[in-house]
Formats: sequence, structure tokens, C-alpha cells
Amino acid sequence: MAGRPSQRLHQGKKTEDLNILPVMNVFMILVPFLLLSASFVQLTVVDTTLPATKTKTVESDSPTPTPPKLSLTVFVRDDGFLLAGYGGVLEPDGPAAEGEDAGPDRFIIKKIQKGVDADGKPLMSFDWDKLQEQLKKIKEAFPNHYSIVILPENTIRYETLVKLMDTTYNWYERTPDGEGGFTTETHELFPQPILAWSLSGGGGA
Amino acid sequence: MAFAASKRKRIKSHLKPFGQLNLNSLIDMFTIILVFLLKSYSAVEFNVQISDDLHLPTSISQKLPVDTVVLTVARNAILVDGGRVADVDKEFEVPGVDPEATSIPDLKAVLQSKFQTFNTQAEARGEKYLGEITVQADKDIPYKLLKRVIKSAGEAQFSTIKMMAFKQEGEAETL
Repeated sequence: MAGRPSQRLHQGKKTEDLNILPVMNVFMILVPFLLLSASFVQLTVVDTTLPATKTKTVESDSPTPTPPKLSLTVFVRDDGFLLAGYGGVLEPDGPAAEGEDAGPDRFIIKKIQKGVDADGKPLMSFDWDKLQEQLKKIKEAFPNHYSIVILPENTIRYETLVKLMDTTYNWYERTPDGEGGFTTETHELFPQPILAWSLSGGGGA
Repeated sequence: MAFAASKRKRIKSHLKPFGQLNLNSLIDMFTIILVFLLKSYSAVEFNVQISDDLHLPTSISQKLPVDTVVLTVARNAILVDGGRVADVDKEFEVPGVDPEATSIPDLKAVLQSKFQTFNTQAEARGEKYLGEITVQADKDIPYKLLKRVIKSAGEAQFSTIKMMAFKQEGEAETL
């Protein structure tokens, strides 16, 4: 009668199957839960401040001569932007001349045509590039100025406002990195937007 | 000379006709999904009820939203922290409120009570309440309505307005 074969060679091969059932249970609970609570859109915010209680004092102080300090204001109108520099209490419909060099303290940036719509009418768009060019120049002259007053007209949409604040916040310098891509450098412009509304005319300015 | 398998082993192998289900790839997949989801899980959760009446614009801003009072201006209603405060009609006017009035009384009242609550809480903790408010507005809301909303917030002593938008991928592309 043959003896039992030696088990010595088989000792190391005694692998027990890992019990993965509990892990699977955990996964099965976690994955649906996380899928439900996952946010696939990333949200962001743009900080703005209100002129708070100062609006009235600006109005009452406006006739008195103010020292020449920059009070940068962007009027957003249906036909484009008006950038006002000193004083900040310029009338949006005042005697504004045309063109970029309209005066030392104000510039008009007209909308530009971006193609045509279905009816053949010209599609007008705000000239964001020109606005940012102008803001860059102002920033060079006033490197320590950070606030910008935004004064939109009634018809200006929220989307335009957000885009405007993006434009006035930073500008991005793109330089080719030699490998077909770009390196982006961020430069600060006016990161403190102040939302304002004209005092005259209440709801219908 | 090899020995034949014992009778017991032969029986055992016959009893397992199905073999073991191979779960390795399933577990791999689950692990990857789990890691991805945990990574994209943000601590501050914001409930944005995307509907036809609330489409947020996109922004290249990099700031993260923080937990504040949320004021929603949809095309058909104004909500504070999810509760409906006022209606908005097709002309973006609030029914029952004088169009010439610069603020919306109902909204102002709700926001004032919110401000009081948070201010009292902050004072109890010995902090200063900053009066921040997050505004989610539909991208087509005209400034005519928006300015009255933020004016109401301003009158309720909220001074910092955080405009919410979707984060745009590839930030510098549009500029």
C-alpha cells in the first residue's frame, strides 16, 4: 500500500480566496450616494460691493471741487461702453465726443458688428478687447487703484454684467511656449467692482 | 510517477460546476468611480435648481462660492434660501410693486430678518457679520430688475454681493 503523497511541496499554494463581498457592499452603497450628490457643474462667484450709503453723499458733494483722484466708472449702455475717469459724476448722456481719444477723462467704446443674424440684421457685440486695452492703459497710469464703478443701463443683462466684471478683473497674457501651446500669465486690473445705479429717474433711468 | 487524484478531490471538483464569478474587473471599475467621485465631492454644496427659468451665465472667475444667504432671481420668481418671496412677470417687473420704486418691500423685509438672525448669531460667537449674500440670477435678467433686487439687499445691510455663475473651463480662451 502506497503511503500518502508528501504535502511538503504544496504548503505555499494554500491561497484562500479573499472575501470581497463586504467591500462590494460598501461600494454599492457609496457609488450611488456619491453619484447622486456629485456636482458636475462647477460654480464660481464674482465678488461685488454696493456703494452702500455713499450714493447720497456723492450726489450732494458733486458741485464742490473734488481733488483729481481716479474714480473709474464704466457706463454700460445699449450701444457700448463709456469709460469715465476723474470725478466719476459725469453724465452718461453728457456731451461725449466720439472715438477713443474723446477726452482726458472719458472714452466711448462702441459696439462692434459680429456677423449677421437670421434676418440679415447686423449682430452687435460689446467690444470687450478694446475695453480691456483701455483698462490696461488706465491701470498703467494708476497701478494702485483697484475699484471700478459699474453703472449699467436698465436693459443690460446679467450675463453681460458677469462678463464685464470678468473683463475688468484680470487680463491674461498669453505667450506661445514654443510647443504649440500657450503659457498664461494673469495680470490684475480692477478687482473691486462696485455696482451702482444712476440716482436720477429711479426705475426708469 | 504521479498519483491519481484522490476520490474525494474528484467528487469535490464535480460538485462545483459553475466556477467562481470573476469580480476583479468590476471592483477595479468601482474603485476608479469611487476615487473620481470622492475627488469631485466638494465640501460646500450648493443647490442650483437648474430649470428653464434659471440659466446661470459662465464666468472665468476662480473664486469658490461660500455658504451665505442665497438670493435667486429666476425669470418667474425671486427666492431667498429656496423660499419664494416675490413673483416676476414677463416684463421683469414685480407685480404689486410700484415700477418706480427702487427696492422690493417684501424682499427687503425677508432679507432684513435674515440679516438680523445671522448678525445675532455672529455676535453671540463674538464675530462680526460680514453681510455677504450670493445672488444667482438668470443670465437674461435685465439690470432693471437686478438693480432693485440688489438695492433691496443693500437696504437690508448686505453689502457684499457675490454673483454666481458657472465656472468656464479653459479660463483665458474668450479674452
